[in-house]
This record gives sequence, C-alpha cells and structure tokens, in this order.
Amino acid sequence: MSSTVSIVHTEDLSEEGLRNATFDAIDKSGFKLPNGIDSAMLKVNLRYYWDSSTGETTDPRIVSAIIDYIRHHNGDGIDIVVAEADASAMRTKYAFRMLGYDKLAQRKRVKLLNLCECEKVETELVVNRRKFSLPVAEPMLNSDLLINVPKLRTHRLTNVSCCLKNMFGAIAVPRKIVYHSHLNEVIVGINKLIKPNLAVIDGIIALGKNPVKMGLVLASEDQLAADVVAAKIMGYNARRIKHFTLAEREGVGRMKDFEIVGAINPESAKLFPHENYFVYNLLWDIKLALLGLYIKITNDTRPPVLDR
Amino acid sequence: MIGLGHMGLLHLRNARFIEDIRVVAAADKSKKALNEAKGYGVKNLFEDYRELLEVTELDAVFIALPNFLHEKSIIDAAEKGLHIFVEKPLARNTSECENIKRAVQRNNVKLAIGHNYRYFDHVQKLKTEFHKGTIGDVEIANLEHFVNGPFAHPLEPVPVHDWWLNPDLSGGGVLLDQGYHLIDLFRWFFPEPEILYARLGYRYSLDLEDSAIVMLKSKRTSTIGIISVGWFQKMVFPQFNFRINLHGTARFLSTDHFAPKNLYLHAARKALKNIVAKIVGKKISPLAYTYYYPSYFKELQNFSQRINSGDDMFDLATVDDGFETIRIVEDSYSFADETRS
Repeated sequence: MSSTVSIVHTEDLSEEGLRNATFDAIDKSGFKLPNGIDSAMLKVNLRYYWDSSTGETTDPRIVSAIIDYIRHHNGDGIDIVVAEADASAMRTKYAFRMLGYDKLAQRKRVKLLNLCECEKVETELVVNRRKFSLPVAEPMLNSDLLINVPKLRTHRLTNVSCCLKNMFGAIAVPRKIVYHSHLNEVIVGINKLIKPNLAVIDGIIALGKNPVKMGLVLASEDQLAADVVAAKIMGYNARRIKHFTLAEREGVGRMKDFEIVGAINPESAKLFPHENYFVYNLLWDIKLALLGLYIKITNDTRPPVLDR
Repeated sequence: MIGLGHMGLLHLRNARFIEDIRVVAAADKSKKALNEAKGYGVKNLFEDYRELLEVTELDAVFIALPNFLHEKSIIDAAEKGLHIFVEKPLARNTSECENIKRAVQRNNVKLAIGHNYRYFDHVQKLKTEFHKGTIGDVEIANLEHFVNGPFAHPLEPVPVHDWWLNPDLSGGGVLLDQGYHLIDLFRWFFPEPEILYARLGYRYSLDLEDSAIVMLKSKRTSTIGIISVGWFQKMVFPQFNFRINLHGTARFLSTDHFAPKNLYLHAARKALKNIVAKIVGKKISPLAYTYYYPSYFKELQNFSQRINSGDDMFDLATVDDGFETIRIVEDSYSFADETRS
C-alpha cells in the first residue's frame, strides 16, 4: 500500500475541470489500478437529501470522473457499482434520484446499489474492549476494487467526517443511530472489516460551519493518512480525533510517516471556524431538558417535531 | 381526530386547552399513535376512520390524513352530519373540491381548513397595519417560503413517506404544499387574484416540482403578488424562512419587522410568562414559546367557537377559500406546463 496522500487544487469547477483534478489526484497518490479486475464499487457519501452544493454529500461529477478513470485504464468491461446504504432518515432510492446519481448511472451505464437491500454478513468484532457485531453487504466484501468517495466535512459527533466515517455509512442497516453510543469503536470496526483500495475525497465544496468552496480533490490508498490530511486542512489536530487514534492503534492505517504530494494552504483552516461540538451538543441537551421541565410544569404542548 | 401523524398529534395535544373541545375518538393505523391518544384520555380508538364516524357523541371531526384521503374522508364525515376541520390542502384538485363542496352543502355542515399561516402573529400584525393604509397602495407583494418540505428533519429522524413524492397521491409538490399557503395569504390580503405567470423547478428530478414561482394580480386592487416557494433548502428547527414584503406607494412593510429577532429569547420570555400564569392559576398561552406553532392552536380555537356559536367562519378558511386556492394552484400547473411545452 502506497503511503502517499495527494492534494490537487482546481479553480475550474466545470465537469472537465473536476475530471482533470480527480485524474491528477489519483495519479499523484501512487495508486495503481490492479489488472484483471471484473468489478468495482464506489462508496459515496450521501447524507439525507442535501446536495453537494451544501457540502454534505459527494458531488456526482467526482464519481463520474472516477468511473472515467477506471475505464480509461482498465477498459469498459468492468462492472461498476455506486453504493450507499439507507440511513435513519434517508432512503437511498430517493437520495440517488434527488442528488443526481440516477442520471449519472444512466449516462455512465453503471449500477446503483442500496447496501441495505443486499445479502448481509454479520461479523462480531472487539474494538477498544467493546464487543459488537456489524452487518455488511456481501457485494461490498466481494468487489474486486472498492473506492471510498467521502466528502470533506466537519461533524457534530466526530469533529471530522471523511474516509473512515464514510465507511460507517456502509453498515447495512438503516437505523445506524443505535451505534452512536460507541461511535468511535464502530467506525474503526467497520474499517477493519472493509478495507477500500483507494479513497478519493471530494473537497470541492467542503463543509465547516457553512459550505466552503475549496476546489480540492485528495486521494490516497491509506484511509487514515487521508483523514489526517483532511483534518489538517480543516484545522483540526488529528491526534485529538478519537476515531483516528483508535484506528491507528487497531492497525487500520498510519497517522505519520506518509508523504503528502501537493500543498496544504496554511490559510485553509481559517475557512473552518471550529464549533465546539461538545458545547453545541451540551447546549442542545440543555435546551431539550429545559423544554421537558417547562412542559412538566405547565403541561403545554410539545410540537411532535421535537418528540424523542 | 382522524389521522394521528405529526399534524393530528399536534391538534390532539392542543385540543386539551380548548374548553369546548373534548376529543372522544381517534383513528389511525398506527397503534403507537393510538396509545398516545389513549394517554390523553381518548376513549374510542379505531384503526379505520369509518368506524369512528359511527360514534354517536361526535359533533365534529378533525381530519389530518394524507392528501389522497381528504376527499373521501370529508365526504364520509359530511354524510354523517359532522362539522369538519381538515388540514390543508382541501384536496388534490378542483374536481375533488367540487365533490367536497357539494357534500358539505348537501349535508349543511361547516368545513374549515387549516390555513394556519393566517394566524401567525406577524402576519396578523402586518395585515392590521396594511388595513390602516400606512403603506399606501400596495403595488407589489412578495411572499416567500423556503424549507425542506417533506424532507424536514425532526428530532427523531424518520424517512420521508412515499405518498409525498407520488404526484397521484399527493396531488403536487411544493406549490401545493407551501405555495398553497402563500396563495391563500395573497387572496386574503388582495382578493380575486388571477394568474399572470408560473414556473416550476425540478432540481431534485422528482416527479413533482421542488420549487415554484407564481405571479398573481388582484382584480380588486391591481396588486401584483410574486410567490416563491422551494423544498430545496437545508433547514434545522427552529429556522423558518418565510416572509411577506408589501411594497406600497408610501413605504414598505415586512413580516420580518414584527417577528422576534431571536427565537430562543422569545421562547424563554414566553415560557416564563406561562410558568407564572400556571403558578397564579391563570390559563397559559399554548405553544407561545415556539412563535409559529400557536397558529395551529388559534385556528382550532376559532373553529370550535364558530361551531358552538353557529357563526360564520370569519377569517377561518372555508370550503370556498380552499376551492379557490386549489383553482389557482391548478391554473399555475397548467400555465407552467404550457410554457414548458
């Protein structure tokens, strides 16, 4: 496995510009497409029904470029699948349609796959002395080539959401909220079970407090190394991201001794003013607790939208 | 109470604060929802609303069902001689509206529709100011509302219901969902509108529109209304991107001028007021802490008063309001289709 993380910046946000940036990023990462593969799966990062301009979800144009890259090097004979799993509040069938993936699939003659609708393999794991089991879609385990295509963004629970966190979304059950109590362990667990061959990070529009126009594409075979660079771009100290350090301990990837090809703009961190998510979550809990107390005292109506 | 989804539950909870309303029966397919109704003291619980209509104690029904069930359930209730409060929209199209209107007239029952935007505090204040004439003649009115629509994310995440995205079942997209409210408001301020222009957007490639712009002109006042709605905006509670801007010959006025600047401060203030009211044994103002939600309480309260007093519906939306609003929605769809073709 190459220990290189490539960073490519583009000002040209046209389809052609993104295609060139993606090709460039993959080439510079040192990744070599294996010969003789029959199938490839691209795990995208869809979140709810928010499109890529919000910084929440993978831009289908990056996915389109990766498909072109595979075909350019290995020909048209490869069976390519774009995959995502349902989430607590997201149905993949609508997300694929609404976020431009149906059109992409038609245009590029690739298949779309809801990982929750596949045959599953349930595997028991122990991470950080916590024991749990995770269901994984069989096609994900059987694909000759797996490419992780996450979005570059911050996250309320994990601070950074990129390569490792995107694989959490591959767990083949919709209600992944049940894993939130031991989220770091589960993120690392799923990355021990499924090891993508390559990560291509969509940092075209990233997400901080608001969407941030970055024009970046990153690529690496090492998911953790790519996440460390992503964290640095967003101004986070990678050593303070729990699922990173846990992943390193569990041998998922490396947090040091890797090469970066391309430059990290020293000003980029300023574009991601850090919200203190501990305080943010605490404030939400306080607001809800106050609401509960108020309703207990007054017997006032609670709007169903605030039901738990 | 027919239908105990988000809106039905909200009405059920609000009904507790209205002296003249006693909810004696509820119908819903969900056992969980029926259990909640039971918790509020509702005795007669049904999975099929037609059984509910046989309960002899009933004076009126509240219908909060998906759009495709409005016509049938309203007619069934009217045939039983029951007054009706139905969630918006009245129906999916004018043909259903006609059937509803005939049933309501034939059975001499009253029907009110949940046009709750009329009861927003800032809308009412804007209307009062407008009627005083302080902004002169209104030449142009901008009404806009951008939300997640059916993709709204409640605290407990749930996926969007399939019927929302099926045009046969829902009757339409954002124009019927949010546009309906704004068209009704424009009619309420500036009567007898006719359509000048309509354009629909399909950013999300659904079978129904996720954005719409409609331009109306009031025959009575010549005011032009520009209605803009969208389901495309990421939004988290309590954000609410809705406003009316009235551009008059003397000055302009906006609902933003009357809305609280900080919804959390507003919530704290109103909550404290209610706690004090509770302590001194006075009535609380239900949902005042949410700013937008008291509108649902007020429309219910108004409906109950009208039913009990036998008065006209006044500012409650009637079957004619619903019918006329649906006619404009339908005309907008036709206009947009023609322009597209």
